[in-house]
Amino acid sequence: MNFGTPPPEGPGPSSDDEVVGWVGLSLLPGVGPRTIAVWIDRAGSAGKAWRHLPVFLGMRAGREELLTAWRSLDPPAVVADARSKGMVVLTLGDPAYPAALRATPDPPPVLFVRGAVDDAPAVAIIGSRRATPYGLAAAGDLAADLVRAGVTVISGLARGIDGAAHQAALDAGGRTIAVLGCGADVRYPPEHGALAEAIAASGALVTEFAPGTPPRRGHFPRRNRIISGLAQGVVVVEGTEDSGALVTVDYALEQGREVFAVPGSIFSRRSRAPHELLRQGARVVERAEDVLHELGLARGEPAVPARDAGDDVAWLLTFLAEGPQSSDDLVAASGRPAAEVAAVLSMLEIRGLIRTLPGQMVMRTPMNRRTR
Amino acid sequence: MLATVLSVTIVGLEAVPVSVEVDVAAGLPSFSIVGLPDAAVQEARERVRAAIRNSGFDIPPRRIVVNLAPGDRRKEGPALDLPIALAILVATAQLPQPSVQGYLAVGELALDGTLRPVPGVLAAAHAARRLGVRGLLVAEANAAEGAAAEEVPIHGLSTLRAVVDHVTGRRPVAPAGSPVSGAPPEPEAYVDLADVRGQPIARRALEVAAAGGLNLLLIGPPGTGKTMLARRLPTILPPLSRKEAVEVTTIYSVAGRLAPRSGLMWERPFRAPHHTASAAAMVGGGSGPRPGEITLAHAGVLFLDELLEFRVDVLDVLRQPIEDGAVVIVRAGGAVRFPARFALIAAMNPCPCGYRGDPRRECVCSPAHVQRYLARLSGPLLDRIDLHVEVPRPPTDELLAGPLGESSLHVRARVSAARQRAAQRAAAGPMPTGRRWRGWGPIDDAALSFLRAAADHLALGGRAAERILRVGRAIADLEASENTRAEHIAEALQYRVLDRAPTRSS
Repeated sequence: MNFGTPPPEGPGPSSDDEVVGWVGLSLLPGVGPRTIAVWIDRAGSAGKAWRHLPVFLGMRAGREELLTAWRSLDPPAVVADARSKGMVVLTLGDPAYPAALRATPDPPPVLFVRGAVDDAPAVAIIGSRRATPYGLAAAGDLAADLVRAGVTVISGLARGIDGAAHQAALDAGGRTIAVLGCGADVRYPPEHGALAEAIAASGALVTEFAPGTPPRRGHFPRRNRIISGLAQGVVVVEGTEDSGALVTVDYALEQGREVFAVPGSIFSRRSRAPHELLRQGARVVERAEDVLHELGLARGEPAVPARDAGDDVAWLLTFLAEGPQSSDDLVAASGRPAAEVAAVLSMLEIRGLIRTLPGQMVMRTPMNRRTR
Repeated sequence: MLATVLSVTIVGLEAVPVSVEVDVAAGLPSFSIVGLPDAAVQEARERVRAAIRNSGFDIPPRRIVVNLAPGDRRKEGPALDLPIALAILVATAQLPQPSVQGYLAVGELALDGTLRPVPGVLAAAHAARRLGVRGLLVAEANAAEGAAAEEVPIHGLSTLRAVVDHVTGRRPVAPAGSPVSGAPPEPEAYVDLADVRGQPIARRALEVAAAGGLNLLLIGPPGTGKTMLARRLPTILPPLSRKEAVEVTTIYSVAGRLAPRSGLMWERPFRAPHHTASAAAMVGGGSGPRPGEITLAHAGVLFLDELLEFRVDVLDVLRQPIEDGAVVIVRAGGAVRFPARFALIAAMNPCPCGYRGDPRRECVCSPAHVQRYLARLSGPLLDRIDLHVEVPRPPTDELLAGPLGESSLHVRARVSAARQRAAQRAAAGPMPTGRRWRGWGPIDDAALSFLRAAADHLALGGRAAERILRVGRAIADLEASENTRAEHIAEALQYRVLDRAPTRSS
């Protein structure tokens, strides 16, 4: 593509005339980035292309509708509105536009950003909205370990896996970016309002939709190309056969991104998507290192050693080596009284060495998350 | 001519003395009852008239007025048939007044003069002692119940004629002896904790709840044995004391739920009202208030299966009784207090579909669904539940071939010992206020600092911490430990699954 740099003879890349031009062009219905690029190329700048749009429309089909839209649209107001709400308007003509996304086949012409985007290495973690506790734990652990390795975690702020990944990244003190299917000032999903604010404060909320745009079904597949476009790799944690995560994977492959999948339980329908991806050659992810090595992001630091559990309680951990167990099973397997097993479980839990899941299940916290 | 016979009417759980006065005078033949009789008492006219005639006496065609004193209190039920009949016989000179003097009479009459049992005889026996009467005249089927109080001589009689023969001394009937106390429970009704295979954590939680007199919530998929566990709670509670047995029997007697010819109830009640129960059915109600489910569960167990299916207003009325161990029902006629000190055990599914956390069957509920479902647990009621544990599905082979669990008898011995320790501690030191845990016996510093760490880690509130201390104290008593130690608090924490936030950001 030829818009890697701003058009040389136009006004400065961040001049308001340019930004308004980009926003105006991007708001035209049915006009994609390729057309916009052609017009800007011919006009010499986005501002000119917008102002003289009727000239460029030629005999294009749907000319009348586009002219109607052109007359009714008020891009300066959109830009002013976005800025008044604390957003930065990034256009393809702006050098601050994320390089990875710019290099994809179909980059959004305009991004509305709350917070700051940069070109630091990033990995997307995506998956089911109706995640299982296992999936949430896996997404959370992975996200935390990735941000500790200096990687930005990208996801879609949806319920389930997305939310768990964002939250864990924040909790671990790392950067995370949420890509939205609505305006950056729209609270969706509503229960993630606080999470979105926290992300905007330390990472970024990114969307191609103008402020005030409500979430629509059709927005989310398009939003997914930004998720994969911003990332170097995409990790699918859980999803059914028709999961939206698979849409993201298609984009990722088209954009040349690495695809990873976290294996799940064979009893769960939400393992279908990751398992199908594994069958097709996606990389298995058991821990963050699997992703970091593949993407060449590993720093080679040893994981933080676990704090000593103490001999009086450590015996129980050995029963959890093979995976989650129910407390009842632990009593049966260890042959110790229920009272003792219960007490030891609490002690391990308070030290962050295990965590409890629904159904009386207990699982070991992965090695490098034991920081308490 | 005027005659008076002593009787009682039941108000709440108490028998209140009623003086039955009859005046027979010249005038147009009539038969009227005054003194706030209810419909059942009004109908006594027909029963009494027929019973007197069919017993070989007669009713003269004169003006008969029955007055039930005190006149400002409603009189209920057919128990006044017998005293009315006796007073009429005295007033018509078919029976000398001194013969009925000093007796207290309760009983319903059949048209042929047969004496039928009535509710509340045990309460009547208490009243009889207070009034200092020489004997209580009741139906034969009520004699064992009345005698169980061991208060006054109880004469069980089969007909009106037998009553007359007794009081005139023509054919006296000896007072009924007290039935054998502490009869073993009926074998077919017997359930035992040994029936529960596997599920060690839930069993232990049940034991802790029994030891501390604590309330317990069981959470698990359908068919994992929540009801089975709950039914076994009465079998591991200490046996009823005599005082408790009298209380329980009085309640069941007043409620008309005592089997005929039964003496004291020695088994702890187990009540499992259906989730469609109304608030009145739960706490008691009616114009002359009757005990509700919580009072029928007094000294025993109240089991609420499918807790979240109960109506919110029904659950809300439970809060005060759980705190007070009693319920006060206020009616126009005055307030009635029913005891309601029960162990609450509730059960619910972990989510709307029931399979959340089941390793073999996938839950189809969305997180929002689960959250909305759990939010229906009213906070104030949840605050009064001390233990909440999950009851997962045990492996099928364990159900079929696993070893039998420990029997109720063994567990009950430990529970009784723990309760004794708690009672001794309460008797020795300043009584626990029920609110401030510091009055709940000595506690290790390590236990407190562990609790503090847990409160941080799990973001526990003050009420949760207080409940954990209560549970920890019960565990310490089970372990015969003077102090509550860190491991007791740690174990208690495992029985508080709802304190763990249901998976953040999902």
